[in-house]
Amino acid sequence: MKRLLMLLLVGLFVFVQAHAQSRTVRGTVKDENGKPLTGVTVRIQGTTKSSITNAKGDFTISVSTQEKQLEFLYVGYDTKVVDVQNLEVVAVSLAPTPGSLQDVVVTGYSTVKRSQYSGATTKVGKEKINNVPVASFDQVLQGRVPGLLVTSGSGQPGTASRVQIRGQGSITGGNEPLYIVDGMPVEASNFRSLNPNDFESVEVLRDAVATAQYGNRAGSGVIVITTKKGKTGKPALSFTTSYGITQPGQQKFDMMNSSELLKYQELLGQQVDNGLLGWVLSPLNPNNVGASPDQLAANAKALDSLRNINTDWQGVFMRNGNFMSHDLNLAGGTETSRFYVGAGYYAEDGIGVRSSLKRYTFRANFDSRTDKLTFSANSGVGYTKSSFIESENGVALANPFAAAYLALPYDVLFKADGTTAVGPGKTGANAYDRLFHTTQLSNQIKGNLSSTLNYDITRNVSIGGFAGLDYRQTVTERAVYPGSYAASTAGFPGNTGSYGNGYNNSFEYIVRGNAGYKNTFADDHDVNLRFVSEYSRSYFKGFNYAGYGINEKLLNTPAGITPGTVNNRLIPAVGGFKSERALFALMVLGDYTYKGKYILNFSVRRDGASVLPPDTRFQTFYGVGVAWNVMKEKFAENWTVINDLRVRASYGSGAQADNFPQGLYGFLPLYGQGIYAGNLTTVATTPGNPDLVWEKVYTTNLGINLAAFKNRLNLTLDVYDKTIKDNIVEQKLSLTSGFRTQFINAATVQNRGVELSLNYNIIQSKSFLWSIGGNIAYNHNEVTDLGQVDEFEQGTELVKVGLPLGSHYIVKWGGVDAATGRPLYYDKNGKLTTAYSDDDRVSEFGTYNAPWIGGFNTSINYKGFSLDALFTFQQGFSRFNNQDFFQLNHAFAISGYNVRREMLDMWSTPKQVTNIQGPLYQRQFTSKDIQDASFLRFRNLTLAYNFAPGVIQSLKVLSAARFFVQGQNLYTWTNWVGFDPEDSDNIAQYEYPTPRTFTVGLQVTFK
Amino acid sequence: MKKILNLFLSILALTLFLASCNKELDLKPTDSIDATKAFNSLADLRKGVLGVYATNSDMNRIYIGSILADEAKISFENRGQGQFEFKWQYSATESSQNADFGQYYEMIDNLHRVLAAVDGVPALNAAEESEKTKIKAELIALRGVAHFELITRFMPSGYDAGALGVPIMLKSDLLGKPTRNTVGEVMAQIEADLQTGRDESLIPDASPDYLSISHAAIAAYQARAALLRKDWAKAASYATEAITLSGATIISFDNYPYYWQDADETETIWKFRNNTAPQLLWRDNNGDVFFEPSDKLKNMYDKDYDIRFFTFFSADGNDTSIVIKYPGGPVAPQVNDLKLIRVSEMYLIRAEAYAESNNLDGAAADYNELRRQRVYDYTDESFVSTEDAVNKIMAERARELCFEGFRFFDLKRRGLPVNRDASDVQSAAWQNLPASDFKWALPIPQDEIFANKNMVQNPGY
Repeated sequence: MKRLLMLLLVGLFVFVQAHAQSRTVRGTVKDENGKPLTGVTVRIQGTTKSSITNAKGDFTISVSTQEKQLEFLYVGYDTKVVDVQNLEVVAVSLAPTPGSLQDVVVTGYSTVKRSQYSGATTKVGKEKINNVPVASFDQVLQGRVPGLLVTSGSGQPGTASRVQIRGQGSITGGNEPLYIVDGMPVEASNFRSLNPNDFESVEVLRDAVATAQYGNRAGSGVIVITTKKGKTGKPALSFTTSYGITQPGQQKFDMMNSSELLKYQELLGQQVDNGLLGWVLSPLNPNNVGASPDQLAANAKALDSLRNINTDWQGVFMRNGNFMSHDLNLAGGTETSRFYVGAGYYAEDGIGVRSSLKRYTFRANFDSRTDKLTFSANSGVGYTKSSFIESENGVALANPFAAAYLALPYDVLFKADGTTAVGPGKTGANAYDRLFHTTQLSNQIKGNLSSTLNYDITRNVSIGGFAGLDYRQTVTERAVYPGSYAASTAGFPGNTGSYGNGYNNSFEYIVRGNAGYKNTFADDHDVNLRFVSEYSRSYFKGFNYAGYGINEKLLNTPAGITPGTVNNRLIPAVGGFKSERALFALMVLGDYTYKGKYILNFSVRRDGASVLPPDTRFQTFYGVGVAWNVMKEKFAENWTVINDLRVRASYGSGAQADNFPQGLYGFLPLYGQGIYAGNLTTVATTPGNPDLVWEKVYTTNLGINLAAFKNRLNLTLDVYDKTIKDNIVEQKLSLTSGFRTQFINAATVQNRGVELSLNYNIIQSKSFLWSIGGNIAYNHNEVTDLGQVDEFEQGTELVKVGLPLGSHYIVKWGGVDAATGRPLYYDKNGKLTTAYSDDDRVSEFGTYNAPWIGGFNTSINYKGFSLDALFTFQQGFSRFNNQDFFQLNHAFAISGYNVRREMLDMWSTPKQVTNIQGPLYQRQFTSKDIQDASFLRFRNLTLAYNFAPGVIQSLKVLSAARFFVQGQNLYTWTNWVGFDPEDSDNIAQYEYPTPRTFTVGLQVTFK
Repeated sequence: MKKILNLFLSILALTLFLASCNKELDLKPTDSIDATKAFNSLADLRKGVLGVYATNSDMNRIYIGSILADEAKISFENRGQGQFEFKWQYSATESSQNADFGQYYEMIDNLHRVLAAVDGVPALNAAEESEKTKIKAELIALRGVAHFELITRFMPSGYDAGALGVPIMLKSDLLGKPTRNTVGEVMAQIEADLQTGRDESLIPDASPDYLSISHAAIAAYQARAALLRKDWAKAASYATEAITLSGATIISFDNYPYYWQDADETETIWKFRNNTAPQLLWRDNNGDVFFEPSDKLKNMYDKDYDIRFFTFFSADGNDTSIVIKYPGGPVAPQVNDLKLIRVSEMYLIRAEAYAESNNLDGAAADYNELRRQRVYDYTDESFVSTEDAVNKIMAERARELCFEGFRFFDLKRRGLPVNRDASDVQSAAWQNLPASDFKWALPIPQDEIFANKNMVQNPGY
């Protein structure tokens, strides 16, 4: 009892003692506008003791007498330190970090202060990404990021673009960057099920220090997407809706109308006998000499009635489509936990009849933060339903964008009885009928989940983990209805009608463990180290089938398939595949800062991959960067014009595992299965290469960031050298080996360039802001080494040391011989010749990779109004126009297709000077078919009005409202004579053109 | 001490972790067969042998044999298909004129891969042991076949044993850069390989399914080789052996159309099981005709009495003549087996060999034997001279074997020009190919010249 009393007394004494030595500090934290800030961490400097502000911005914290300073930390705001030695009540106001969103660099593995980062990265904020009427977010990046090439290959809603950072590196592989959503890699070139309205920002990592931490997946650059997170405070519900139309863009060529075509056919007939109506019915046709006057009159009448038919085939196949998009989201949180939940619906009709996309998305993000623990879970699922045109982007008569131009204007669409006028040679009606008697559908489910946990064991040491998965299933559906004209031309067994599905699955998971150490030594040396191990596994699986003998009462379902028997021979076709890939990495990431002035960022990563032979499987990648914050130097203290100046340099390596041209087992000699006379066969398929290694990318980068004139001018300049070594090329083998090629690491490709981005606020006042900005990048691409050879052909390209990749390789057009109408060509030595020979191909027509790319924008904000305009351009590249080959080709006219108006100028009499050859000679593919594809595009114009808070408050239900109208792809300036100069490849082949889109929208936030 | 132990344990843990990860990285192909597992059993070998047969399609010869010669003409609906070949404007760039180079060397490489594996495969009993023996002889005979197809494409017109032939391949060689052997050397190898097949009694005289090689088929190839060498006596005797061993007979007038529907195998010595439509060589799926039978060819028939005229040609609504020699069979409409060797050709070989040996009666007997089954109400003919006999036999070959890939190579073998009718061409520029023209020796593919520094191109390209 005595002892207990003693203990109690001691305890009381200690309590009193402690109480006497500490006191309570109270206060309020507000933002720059005097609004209370909730969730601000108030920490006693040098300890882990902290508190958080409440909804009114108030806090209390117990401070001992030795503790003198409080730190106020809040995301997006400058940290403030307040001395509270003699204070009991403090009023703190936090200032947002200039260009708040620009402040941190999210690299996927870490978040680093931009001012303490040496990498070349560009962030695109949500205001530029959200509510743009395109379903695949990559297109939104066009013209927004220096050095980022985005070219759309199809106007089919949801189609991904070709995206390339700092030029083409791989010769035989892809060049797509690695995409990361909330820390988890997502499949490239497949974004239609991701809702860009859920994106908070997109960070494009371009140099080695930024990407090296992704090791063998980083060589083509990395695009890091951060989705929206909740905000501390009362949950806010907001709704965004927009409606619009899509319409075909401008066209720069004219096909013949009926009377022109008939006249041309007659002209043609005078040189080459043919079976075209304009010649068959012509009085000039020798077959009609001696015909009775009645017959001649009947012919003339027939021609006359044909002339009066002018079917508008473009009008038949193209349309104005509808567009709509709705998003509902709820975001909120407490001091420790925040959430964001969003649901979206997006529907777009393509400008091609039958093409459409519908998308349903749902996202739920949750994050939680306590003193020691950080946790976040992000999940997004999307479901899209797409309907495609026939033979999209194919040189095929079934492709409506080909049929619209090749169909004869004097053919009709419907017969007198109302049925479609299908038949042999009826290009237009056949393609049209086909759209309604076939289906080409694709449904996609995509899920992307990630969760991160981090725990601070001490102030200096933390451990954590990450797990994520990316899943996609695409189910395609293809039907050809029995009894249709489309079926009748299919050949057995397709002519009995067909129905099939294709299932394609892609699944990747990643698990990651990390340990971190950070500390500040002697006040000036900030050190931050992370050790990470990572394992990833990807599974690819697919199967497909097609059945025949469709019951016309059971269309669009597998139930309508006739089971195949030996007698009916309607054996269904089946196929499929299955494969996997594993990657493993160990890495160290580090940052060191001295007085915030000198910065060192580095990473070293040891990478293993299943796709390389065991001996070369593990390779090391690294990146190192330094930066110098000049403004922190003494001599810069009194600078008035310059507000910020940072100089950066970096070097490092990476590889392109996701674009590896050798598939998953390319290093192994393999045999495949075939079938002969109903029995299985085994044949050699690939020779393999036991010495295969990655294509390795080495990037050197030098850059500066400058802000001047009271931060009105912002400039970022980077110069780089990105060299890809051990580039894989197909070494040609003697055909006597039974193989044609073997893939070997042999070539080197160099990209060198400059990237400049600039923003200037011309007028900067409280109610009026006018800024202009832009970015421009120049990339010089050159093959510097090809190993055993100096050059080789790749399709219509020549890959040659000293030339850029994508260099066109074709015989040079020499005009038309005025005496004979014969096409002339230049031979290798520059002499005119009439003989066309592949041996005379030259590579002096440039490349299809644009060296100059960029965009510029201007934005005006006046009171509640804002006007934003974006122009994008690509300059100095050329592409083949394969459409010209068909539309300016007598042989196609003779086969019964329409041709372009200028074909009327064809050579027909000696001494006639023209660029259109006579019909007696074969039309060849020459440099005449290469055109400058440079373009400047008025990409986007948005006019928005933010209702004044006073007006909104009076409505009682709303806290904010924004109204906007938007036009996308408004106009294109180009010399290109095709649908669209912008395309993802080197050749125009009746690609689905990019639409012009007009939308109006409203965004409201409820109270 | 404790620190060292900790460090040691950490290193051990890391090593184990790395080792287990390395195992996790060691994935095996799922959709392809690892080279070490391709041929481990007799069943595997059989699959390999079938893979060799699967490469032995003469589809491309059927195409170029017609359009390079005077059998076909370009139709209005042709949008450029095959026009380079037709107009003899082809170069070394790979296209149908020289596609066979890759195809038959691929066949040779595949057969060598199986051949190399045969000895390592265990045989459980005597029957399996003899199957292995048979497989070896079968593959060697097929090697002779493949080399024969190659030499006919790439050697010059006529027969000159000293001229440039093709490389003889006797094993798989991934990085090899072989030189061209002379025509004589290649022919000697072909004869040796074919004889190996003839000498192996395990190979049947006639193929039960017509798909695998037989003594009769090998004899037929020996007859073709002898004909090429102008060894008339051997050509005649091999042709006789092929006829006798196969037991095949000339199909009757009445059954002739059914033969082309694969409903009858009376004439077949060896065939290729095809799964694409041979018709599409000259036509498009949408009905467009790229090549129609030439007027010259059509005019060679007795249009009222020759069954072949009705069996091979048809016209649609636009009165465009269409090759319908391959109307389709039981496998699928339009899909026909390709007749690698049929007995009619053997009769024609023997007739030609007899004629050249001045055995005009023997030649006329074979000639009439065939024509009795082709022309209604036929009266036997006789020959007045070797020249008369050879001309008539060549014309008969054109009639009987048209669109089977013989015409161009028959003209080439005999050193004759291609002379097309004026109505079969739009320009005189591609009416005639003189016998002296370099285009007869088809170009070695440019890729081969590029990859193999020892390869010599045929002159002119």
